[in-house]
Amino acid sequence: MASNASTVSQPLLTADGTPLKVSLKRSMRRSKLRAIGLVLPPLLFLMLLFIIPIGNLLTRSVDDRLINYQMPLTFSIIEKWDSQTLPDEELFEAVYYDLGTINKFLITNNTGREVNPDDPGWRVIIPKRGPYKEPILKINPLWGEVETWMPLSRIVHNSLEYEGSKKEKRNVEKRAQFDICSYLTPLTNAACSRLFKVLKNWDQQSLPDEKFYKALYKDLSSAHKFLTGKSSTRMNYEKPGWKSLVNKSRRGFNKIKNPPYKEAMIKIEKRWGDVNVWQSLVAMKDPFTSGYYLNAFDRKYDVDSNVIMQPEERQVYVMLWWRTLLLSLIVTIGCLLLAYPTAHLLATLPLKYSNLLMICVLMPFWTSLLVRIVAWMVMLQQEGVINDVLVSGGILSDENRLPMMYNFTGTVIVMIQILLPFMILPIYSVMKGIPPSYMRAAQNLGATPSLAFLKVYMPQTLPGIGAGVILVFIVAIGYYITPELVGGKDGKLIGNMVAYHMQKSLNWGLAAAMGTVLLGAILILYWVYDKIVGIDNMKLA
Amino acid sequence: MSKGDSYVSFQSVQKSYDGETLVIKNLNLDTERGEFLTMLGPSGSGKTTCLMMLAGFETATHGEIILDGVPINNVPPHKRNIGMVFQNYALFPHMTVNENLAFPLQVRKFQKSDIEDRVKKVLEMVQLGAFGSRRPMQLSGGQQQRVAVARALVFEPKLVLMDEPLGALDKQLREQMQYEIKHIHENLEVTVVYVTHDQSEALTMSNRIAVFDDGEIQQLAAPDILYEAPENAFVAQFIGENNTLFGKVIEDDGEICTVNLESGETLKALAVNIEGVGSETMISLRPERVVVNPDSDYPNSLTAIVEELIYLGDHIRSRMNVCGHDDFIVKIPNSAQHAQLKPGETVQVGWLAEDSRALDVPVSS
Ligand SMILES: Nc1ncnc2c1ncn2[C@@H]1O[C@H](COP(=O)(O)OP(=O)(O)OP(=O)(O)O)[C@@H](O)[C@H]1O
Ligand SMILES: [Mg+2]
Repeated sequence: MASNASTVSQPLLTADGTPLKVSLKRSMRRSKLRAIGLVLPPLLFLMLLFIIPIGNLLTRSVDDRLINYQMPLTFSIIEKWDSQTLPDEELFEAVYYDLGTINKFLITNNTGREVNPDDPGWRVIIPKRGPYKEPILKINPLWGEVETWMPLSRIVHNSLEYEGSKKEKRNVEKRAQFDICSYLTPLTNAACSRLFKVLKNWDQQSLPDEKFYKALYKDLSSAHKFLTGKSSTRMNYEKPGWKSLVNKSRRGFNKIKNPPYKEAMIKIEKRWGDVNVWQSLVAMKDPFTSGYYLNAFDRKYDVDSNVIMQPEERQVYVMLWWRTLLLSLIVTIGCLLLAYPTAHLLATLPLKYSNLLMICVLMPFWTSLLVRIVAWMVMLQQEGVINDVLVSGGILSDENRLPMMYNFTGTVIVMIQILLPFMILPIYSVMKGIPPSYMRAAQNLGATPSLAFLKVYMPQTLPGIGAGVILVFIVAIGYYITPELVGGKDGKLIGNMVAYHMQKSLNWGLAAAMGTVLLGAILILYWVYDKIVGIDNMKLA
Repeated sequence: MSKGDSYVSFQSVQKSYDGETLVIKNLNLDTERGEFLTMLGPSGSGKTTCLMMLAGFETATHGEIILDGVPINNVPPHKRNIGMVFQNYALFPHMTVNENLAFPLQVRKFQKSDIEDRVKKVLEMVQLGAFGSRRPMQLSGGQQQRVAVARALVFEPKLVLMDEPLGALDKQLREQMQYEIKHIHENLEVTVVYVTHDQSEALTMSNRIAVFDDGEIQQLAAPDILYEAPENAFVAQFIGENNTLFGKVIEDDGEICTVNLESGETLKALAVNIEGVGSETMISLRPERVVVNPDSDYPNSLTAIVEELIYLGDHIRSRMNVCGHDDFIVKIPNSAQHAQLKPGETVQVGWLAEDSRALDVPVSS
């Protein structure tokens, strides 16, 4: 006992006298390092290709800064407006400067957040044909100092120092032109080529002369044009008509030489006299918006930031969400009903037959998705195989051929077929692990075969059912290829809208918001499943 | 035994799975009410198949199985009212111990209170009163086994089948469980058909043992008879330790026969299973019946060289070379007057004619 007590009180030592803990740690360190080395590549891969894009998706769905870059002056004073009557001259003037001049790039820091509306620089007009130096210095005297130009010059010179092939050199220089623009403006994909050319030959000491300012003006003007194009698209989401209004106004603004701007602007484009147009501007003020999410559910903000429904003719998404949910449910249930007996057969048939059946189950994975969908088209269309058989069998008359393609039904049928393996495999793998002795034991204890199945076999397959249901539901809820091809008009789902906004309308904010809602729905589903069944109960193949 | 008092009866039962080979060849077996009958045999000899036919999960290809006077070939398993302990216990993993035990009662539509009472009683019988709310996974192997036994007994079947129920347990636990199962059998007066390939288990537990080999019963007898008086070479070799000597019968007076060994010596043995003078035979002899340096009036006496001695406390196990074979085992009791042997020493070994049995020659040797 005494010796025991002494070993407990002092730390254990190894043979050479180092404490056991220290030497254990030392021996563990190597294996830890190796483990980290093994884990790092997939982790990086995951970060780069999964976590970062999803983070990007989440930010895009709420990011509304573009419009703030465009309208810094307007938004800095718009709160003073009562938002009921037509605004007075001050606000008109602000819009005029924001849409018609590049002064914001010269005055503000390029995020457009710190704006002083009383800065006289806003009211300086740079004449289109110059001279440029004098007005620019009036807007912001800093531009007269060498120091202000130095960072730009450094970008140019760094790119010129690059050694490499001609093609590479050209690319690096192009890159530098982009960098200059993103230094001067919030835009990352506008090129400032004129500034690049001018700065290339600058000695970094002499004061910049007129040609510098001309280049600055020209480059910022084209960047501004680019920004206006993008932001007017965004404004159009808020209220249709904004894009054409901005485009028309921009051209007309050139003719306005002197204040007051209110009458002049309304004369150029009478929509400026519409108070609704101004009200929609208020809704876009925040750099972060939940507008895309509202839009994804057919809702929007009114002037007083209340959530209201979109006008009747623009309501589509809520219906699409319901349809997507319904279709996913039908497909999941359909898959389950078909997969359960199949999986049972797979698990219980003798090896010879079950292998064959397994090949049939896996066959879809070996054929192209498109080929399968086209095959279904051949089967299901009005002049297709099934209708032909029914008509020639006298079950249907020729006029009453069933519409099974290019509608909801077609989408359901084809999606069930495509997603069936995802249901069969997890259920099968669970069934495979249930020894037949359980069914025998249940019958031996007096249960009829059906009762034994219900009470003993089925509960044990629940983990597989859970995994299959979740898997199929998750895939179904975001599916878009099949609905695109066989869905027709009333078979389109949310996934198709996401694709549409990604590829056609380029409303990425809305697409991202929908994607995020889908992601959220899946996470909620997961959570519910975890509460009811427990995630660690889930068994995949 | 007359047909009348047999409880379970296999009548010329044959079974084939593939239509080519008979797994069970013409099985005739009668079990008395309340008997503990063990099927013992090497792996693949058809024991589980017999049990499965009895429980109704396999159908006999030919022949009749009769339970309590009723042919049951066409009775589905759930109507047979036979308790069964499966080889891997087959406790339902998604149910607690209590639910497992209540299952057979629920499907029989027992009253709720009645179910609770019975479950409690049977749990106490297997000494697991505190474990009712656990899942099978949370029990040790021995506890699971006891639950399996309890579940097979809770609906009070008259016949209980057990298929190697102790196969997964360690030696000590197995011995304890053997005792407990035996105890339960005696208390409840059920008929038990027990399958094992562990011969000591069979010997300690059973009223009678059916030794299986190759789909046939080789011998059906009480444990002591099986050990003392094996009827053929398979049983002699399968049960207990056994010395074998091969030779030819040269004389047979009906009770005692004279055998000429391959090495030339002549021995006398009980004529149990020989085909008359001139036939090949295998003499079987238990190691504890051999006497070292016997008196001169012993009928059988051979010269042996001591190869190896192993001290085992109560006896000394000696491996000797007899007639050119060095696998002749002798158990020398550890008593005051036992012979002091040394390896390499040459001694005489002898035994009585009644202690050695002339049997058939096993096919494989
Ligand atoms: N379902 C089956 N299909 C085909 N052959 C089978 C089947 N079940 C068992 N057999 C064969 O029948 C023979 C007897 O098997 P059985 O399971 O009855 O042996 P056993 O005596 O219980 O052996 P063990 O001690 O290993 O459990 C074996 O040769 C086995 O290969
Ligand atoms: Mg077996």
